[in-house]
Amino acid sequence: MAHEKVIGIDLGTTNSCVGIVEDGTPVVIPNRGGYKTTPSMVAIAENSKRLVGHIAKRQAITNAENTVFAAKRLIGRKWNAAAVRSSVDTMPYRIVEGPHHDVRVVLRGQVLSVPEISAYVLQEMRNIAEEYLGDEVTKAVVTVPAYFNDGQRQATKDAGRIAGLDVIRIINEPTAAALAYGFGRDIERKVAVYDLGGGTFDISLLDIGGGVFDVVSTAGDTFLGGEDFDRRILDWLIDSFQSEHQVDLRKDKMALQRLKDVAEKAKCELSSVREAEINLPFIISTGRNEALHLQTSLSREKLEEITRDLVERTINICARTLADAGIHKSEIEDVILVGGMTRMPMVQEQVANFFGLEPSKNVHPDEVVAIGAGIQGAALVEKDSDILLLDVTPHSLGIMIVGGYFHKLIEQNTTVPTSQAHVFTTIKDNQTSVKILVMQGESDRAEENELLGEFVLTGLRRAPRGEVEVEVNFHISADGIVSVTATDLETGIEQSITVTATSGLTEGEIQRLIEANKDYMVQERTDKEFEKHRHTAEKLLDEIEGLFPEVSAIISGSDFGQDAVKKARAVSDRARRAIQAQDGAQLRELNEALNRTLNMFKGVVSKTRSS
Amino acid sequence: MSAEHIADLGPGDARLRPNPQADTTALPLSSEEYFVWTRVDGHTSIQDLLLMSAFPRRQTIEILKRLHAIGVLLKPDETPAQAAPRLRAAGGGGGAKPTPTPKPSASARSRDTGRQRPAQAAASRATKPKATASAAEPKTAASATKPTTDGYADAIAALGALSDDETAALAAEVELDPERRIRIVTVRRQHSRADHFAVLGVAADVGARDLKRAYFKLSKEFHPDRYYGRHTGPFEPWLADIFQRVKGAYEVLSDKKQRAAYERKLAGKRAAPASQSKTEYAAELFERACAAQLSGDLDGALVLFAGALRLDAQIRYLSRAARCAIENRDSKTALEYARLATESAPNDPSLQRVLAAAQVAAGELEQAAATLERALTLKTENDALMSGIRVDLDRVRAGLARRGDRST
Repeated sequence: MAHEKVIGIDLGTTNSCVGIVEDGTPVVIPNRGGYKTTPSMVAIAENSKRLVGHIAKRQAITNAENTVFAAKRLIGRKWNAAAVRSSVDTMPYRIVEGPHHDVRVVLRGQVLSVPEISAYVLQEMRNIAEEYLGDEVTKAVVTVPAYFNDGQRQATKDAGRIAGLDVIRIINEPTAAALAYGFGRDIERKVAVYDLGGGTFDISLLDIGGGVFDVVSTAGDTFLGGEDFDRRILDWLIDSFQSEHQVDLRKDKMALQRLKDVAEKAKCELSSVREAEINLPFIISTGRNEALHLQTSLSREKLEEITRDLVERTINICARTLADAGIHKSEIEDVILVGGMTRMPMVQEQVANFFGLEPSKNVHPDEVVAIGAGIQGAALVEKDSDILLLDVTPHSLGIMIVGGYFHKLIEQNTTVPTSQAHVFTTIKDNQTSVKILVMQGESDRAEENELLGEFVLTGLRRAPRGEVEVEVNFHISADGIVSVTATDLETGIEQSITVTATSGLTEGEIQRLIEANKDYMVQERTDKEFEKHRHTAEKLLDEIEGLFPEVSAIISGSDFGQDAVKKARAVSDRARRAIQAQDGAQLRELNEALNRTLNMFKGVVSKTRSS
Repeated sequence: MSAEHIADLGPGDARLRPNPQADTTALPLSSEEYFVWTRVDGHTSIQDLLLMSAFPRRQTIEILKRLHAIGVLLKPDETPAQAAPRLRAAGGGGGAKPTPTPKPSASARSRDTGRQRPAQAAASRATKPKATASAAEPKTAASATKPTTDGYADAIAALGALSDDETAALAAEVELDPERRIRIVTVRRQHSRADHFAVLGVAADVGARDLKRAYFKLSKEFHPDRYYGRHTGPFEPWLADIFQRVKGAYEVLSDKKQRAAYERKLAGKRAAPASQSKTEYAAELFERACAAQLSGDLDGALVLFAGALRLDAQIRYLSRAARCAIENRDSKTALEYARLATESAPNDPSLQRVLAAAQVAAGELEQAAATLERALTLKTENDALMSGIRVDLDRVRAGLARRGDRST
């Protein structure tokens, strides 16, 4: 096919995954290690080398302060955001304020923006795809949580650009899951996507038929996820320990960290077994040179008891979302489970109970989102594609009106592309200009919403208030770009803007990062070259080393011979140093010298052997 | 595959097309006839029409025959001009507009772009639409390989009189097959005078499932994503408009209430308004209250808010009413509304903020500070709101400090 391949990337909080549609079949692309998911982790090693994915994860314990994980919680957020504040307190790496009230991370003295960190992960996913396809990849569809606002989506797009990827579309994770679920199946039904991940809960309702995926509604709770379950276990462990030993483990940082790890592990285990052993020897030392051990077991029943209300909260959100969309739950014909938490049997039971049907087992919770992104990518570029996604705008859009109130022009969950116009009037006598503040959010108060942009329409006729009418027209394109036009209905004079959310990086910074990353790509290629030379050098050195005793014995008698052996030693040492310094260019030269030395050695040996 | 012959209409695989000069709204058509007419697009064969209509086969044949007899449908070899007398007899226009040509040949085509010589166009019909290209062919490869049933010029001629923008669009260099371009122009024209049912091509009594199918089918045809990465030039805004129109029609017809209102409007415009539920009336009162508040009539607004709240004590109403009461210096009412709101949704920081504002208005600064401090502990993704609360808290604390200074 002539068209270019588009990859789909699920850029996750903890793991990322890349998918593509190949000859009409969606596949997940495994990385070099054969894994289908890659940790979304980035580290800078001691030699200031950039490490991404499994390598970064493996060294995280010993290099915690230089290893970034969960960058997704920070991307596109302002420095004063609550999520950033809590990350500053809990993350082992250093988070600082950037020049545009944005967030930066300090790794080994280098200050990196969050889109840059995410770019490294995207670049890794791109590399995985390129290696698999044996071809360059420059286009991608990337998924984000449904609740992401414009700034977060823009920052994700910027991350793509830094990684050399044209992000042709950003789609919501639950939507992607539905695409993967319905792809290649001739179905006509309403489905619900129940997505309970590490930190958030999403519920999406879709109407599928004839290859069309119509997103009806999307809602969720951004503060409800697997971490809340972990916390319940943690609290239970600490409270039981306290009532037994009268020691509060909350006060010991290291103990707390160990408890967190073990709580998560127990939670996961209990999805398959009925009882999890929890064993933490020497959890805390008491004053008298003694240590206390934590040894207990957690049953699935107990876990369910202490987390039941969390699952009920998700079910309540499902009920509310259905009601808002005017859909009765009996109309839902299938439920798709996404996210690691949906492995918990109680979650499955309650979802099945509520909807009155067994959730679909058709999709793989870890891979489904990347596959869906790949499907949307193919649907866009392939001319004869049979798939159409009718997506919605995740947040309401409008303008600020008199009194500081927010007037919504486009409600959330409206199918895009869409246009909406409303006529406003002047509020003062002889008012000759109006300021249009374009905002996004759900609050009645304008200032409690996110400001996307502003512009002024001038040149209105001086007239009593309320007489001059200005029409404000909002348009959202299929790829989510918002443009706003204000028109003086009397004169036809208009003023408009295309809203570009800020990701915390200026255009200049992005360009610089794109350039810098290109350098890195070149460096990576030279790395590969170096590996080749090192391989050759090591082989030569081995052979030379093997011949040394024999050659020395033969020719070291003569002055010339001694000099030759000395020279051979010097060349070998320099080659070894070049390997250590990772100096590919020098090594290439030295390899020639090594070659000459080896030939000379071989000549000497063969001469004496034959004589 | 040889197609069966269908009485008076021709072979089953023949494609009927609508007569562009027919003004169907002026004709005495039944809803069934109108429905069948909307399914005729020049691409669908008679056999497929019979399957699609969902009426008994015999009935559909009769409808098609009648539509043809009154001149609104054209057989493949017919021209609008040939059908004009039948159309006039039925009272559906045809004569009023400038009739293009006796045959879909030279003069019709010359209107196409003005740049094309008739001889060239005639040659094009013999080969492929490719030849028409001199003036109007896009650079897309698909169009060169995909044969058109009729020549492009014929199809354009069949459109009848072209507006200036249509002429320009049909001649523009775009990556769209000729059929596609004709189709977009045709549908755009239909939309300009069609009601929601006709836009979706559904019968007046259409059920939810068929309505959705029609919407999905048209979405797949006109959603801008279907043309992703292709240069569609002047057709781009038209496609967006068409999709928007289709979507709008579906939104109204798929919603019971909206559909009922729309049907009433279609039927007699001044039909008796339907009765309102209490919550609907509350919503209306709330809207009126907001308008009164913005126009400065705070007393009037508060009366309307109170009325709305008596019918439906929604949190959104409570919060707005509390704000209005603060503005009207009625701190007692403001506190009452704000308390009710925070009690029903204790974890919403925005409502805590309203309560704090009411407390400030009532002079209860200590309570306001406590309320805002509590609000800051609540979780929200709304950073703008949290910054607002922090600013409020600083102000309240500054107020408390001033009060402390004065008392000492």
